[in-house]
Amino acid sequence: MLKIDHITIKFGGLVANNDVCTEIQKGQIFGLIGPNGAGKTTLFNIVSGFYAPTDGKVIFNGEEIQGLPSNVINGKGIARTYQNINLFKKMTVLENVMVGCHGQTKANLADAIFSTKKKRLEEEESIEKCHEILKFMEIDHLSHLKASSLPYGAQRRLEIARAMASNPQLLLLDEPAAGMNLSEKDELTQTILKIRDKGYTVFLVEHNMKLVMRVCDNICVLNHGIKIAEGTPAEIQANPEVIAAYLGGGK
Amino acid sequence: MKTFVQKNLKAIIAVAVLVVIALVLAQKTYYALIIGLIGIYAIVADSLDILFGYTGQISLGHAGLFAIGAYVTTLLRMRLGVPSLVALVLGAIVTMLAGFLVAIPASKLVKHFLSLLMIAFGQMVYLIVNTWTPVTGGSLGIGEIPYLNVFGLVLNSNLKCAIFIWILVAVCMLVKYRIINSRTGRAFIAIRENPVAARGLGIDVRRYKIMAFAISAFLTGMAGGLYAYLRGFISPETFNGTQSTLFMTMLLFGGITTVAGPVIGSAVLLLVKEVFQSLALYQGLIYAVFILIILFFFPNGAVGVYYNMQAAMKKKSNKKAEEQEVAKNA
Amino acid sequence: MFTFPVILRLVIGALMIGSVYAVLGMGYSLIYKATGLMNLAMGDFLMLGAFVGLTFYKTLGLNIYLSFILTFVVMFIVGYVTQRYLITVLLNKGASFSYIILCTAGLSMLFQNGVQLIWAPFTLQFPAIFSKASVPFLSIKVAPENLLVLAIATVSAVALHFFLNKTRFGTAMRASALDQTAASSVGIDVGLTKGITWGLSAALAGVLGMALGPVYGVYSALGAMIAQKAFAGAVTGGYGNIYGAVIGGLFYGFVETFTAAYVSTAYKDVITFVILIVILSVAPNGIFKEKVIE
Repeated sequence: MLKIDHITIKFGGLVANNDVCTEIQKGQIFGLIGPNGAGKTTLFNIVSGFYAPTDGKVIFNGEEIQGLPSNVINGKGIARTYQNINLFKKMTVLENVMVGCHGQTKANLADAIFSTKKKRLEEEESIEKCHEILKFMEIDHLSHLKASSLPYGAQRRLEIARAMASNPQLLLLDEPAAGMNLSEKDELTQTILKIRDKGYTVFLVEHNMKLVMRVCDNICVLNHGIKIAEGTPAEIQANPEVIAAYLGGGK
Repeated sequence: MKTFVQKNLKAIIAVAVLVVIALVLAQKTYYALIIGLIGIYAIVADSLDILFGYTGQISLGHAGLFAIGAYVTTLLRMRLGVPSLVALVLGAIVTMLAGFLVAIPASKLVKHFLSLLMIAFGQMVYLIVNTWTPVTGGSLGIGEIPYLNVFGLVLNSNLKCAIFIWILVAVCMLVKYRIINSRTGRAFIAIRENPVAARGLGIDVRRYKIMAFAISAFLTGMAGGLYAYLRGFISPETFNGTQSTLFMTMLLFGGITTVAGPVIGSAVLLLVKEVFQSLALYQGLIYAVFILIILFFFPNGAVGVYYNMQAAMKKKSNKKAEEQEVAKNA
Repeated sequence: MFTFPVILRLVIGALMIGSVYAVLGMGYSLIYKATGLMNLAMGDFLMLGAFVGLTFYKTLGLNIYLSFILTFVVMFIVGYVTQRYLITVLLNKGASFSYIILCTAGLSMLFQNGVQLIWAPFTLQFPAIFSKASVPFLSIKVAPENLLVLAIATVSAVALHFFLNKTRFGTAMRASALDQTAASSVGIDVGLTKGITWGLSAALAGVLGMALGPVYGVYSALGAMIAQKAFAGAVTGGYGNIYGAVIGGLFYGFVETFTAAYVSTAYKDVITFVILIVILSVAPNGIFKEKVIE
């Protein structure tokens, strides 16, 4: 489904990703791990269109998408969450998710001004769909609250809900468990599996090894911007190079 | 519909009372003029609310757009003999195009650079209407602008014109309300709140910023045309940089992202101006002090103060109820 | 029309006004670098300086050097107080950048209307500083006051350069501009540094305003247009870069002077703004690229 083909990106003299290749199959949960500063979020930023790679290709469903603006990439079926939560703070939970529906809805300015039937129907449908997603993410009871007033764990869930509202095939989750306590992490593990079962492909950056090993079908390991290993959780855990990277990498 | 009336009963009564008072006052031409002007500035403040309040794009150059609307409408009417209502609409459309053009670079810029671009734009328009004497009449302006003719009804008094203006104010408020509560409006707010996340969710940020500029420019241009018809006279001094600051102040004083805010803001600032009319020297000073007081003490505007009071009262009554509950249980 | 004396006269005129833009633009850039803010009242610091200077020199009859020094001190205090007791207070209340801009716009109105009440609502004459009305310069005669403006601007710019690069305080200022947390962790009082930055910018603007007094007269709108052009220069040179501001300021000085002479006096200001809008549209980060786009 997603093919990362010889991706290299340089910032000034610094090489953040060097010749990274990997491939994600439909229906997988694919993990991307590595010590701090390994270039994981950078790779996410390339796939989601925030950075253009210096060299290499990103192929999604057979189409080259590297360097396209992120709003276009979202339209192609890739949505993401952020490591440092990027919610629309002053909007309600429901409104946040409704912004996610933007690409799926069509009502234009004129429809809004004249409050056409098309717009009203579409609005009702979006609201219904968003409540469903919120229920799925188990935060529907908070839907009328301001996003900024949510507890941390719920904010992370809201980000995932918002991304899901844009009907992606591929969901990029950037450290979804960061800052969560143990029971929240357990719940999140279940949720990620549930998301996969719903038919989404998940691409996951995560520091929490327990979570990664439990949910991922395949894992790719980066160190200093270079891919050092790829395989099933069991293979990765046994890989001497990965162990060395984690022990020597300081984390 | 019944629920709407029930829900907003207080507001509806308040509006009705204000309308009656306004109509009584407006029997005097001078008051009718003031009431009309309040409506015009309310439209401008509303248009700024869409751009600044909702989309988060500051503009200190709206006086320039206001000027384009006023001058284009006037010139079309007087030089080319275009019917007055058509001239008004065309004036608004030309202003929208100007807003669109300036938005193309403006939508890329942030903060200071956006402010500067809009200031420069406002200054440029101001200087052009001041210097292009053969067309704009230069610093002397253009007088004897004919009355507005709405489908055969000649608005030949301030009262008639003011009523027409306030009908448009109501339309503007409705349009604003509908835009904000739509997919487009949510895109605007998302851009204000977090442009990066908005883009990541498929929103073409630049396109929507330009759209907000164009909508805002259209409404401001229309207000400019109305101003020309109401006053019957326009000159560059009405459209200087200070006016742009005042537009922003009206919006902030009333309160951004509210329905009533722009109207309250424009009414209060205009009344302050009229009350201190005789003290021309102090007028600017009073405005300046006004701006600073708003920024320091009422950053959420008059409507914000009202909500705070309401919240405080609710808290109080809740507390009372709790106390009673406690007393009962004891 | 293109003879040497005419051109020379124009060049001197352009250098005079351009150098004023340059120094004021340095002030803008300094404030931006140190506090990340934009000050719409900068031109009014210049104007206020002219009024203060006039008071010391004419009303109180002090000598010219002392008048300049006192104006510098008074305007430094005005700038410092503005930052510490207005801007900082607003920022601590969580005001966004738009509110700060409006605050400085309000201040600008306050100053412009305030001086009309305190001094006069019309243009005041600043008495000649020199006994001679003109001095020979190469083949032409120049008013010495014009040369004084150029001299003061040049000295200010050079002094600012050395102050920023060669003194301990300048280092502290640059350090806090780069990284506030790091600066305060090595014992730099960041708040004080910011206040002094604003104070310095205001003081330089004020001294220039006083120097411009004999050339243009002293009136409440003296700084308005000058400030906008200086800011245009600062942006054109790359906002936040004080040397870019110098080049940008001189550029607009030349554009304005030569447009007025050879194209149209009426449209000289329009052309400045058109150029600025074009530059903001095509190369908003100016000559010395500073990051301006999100």
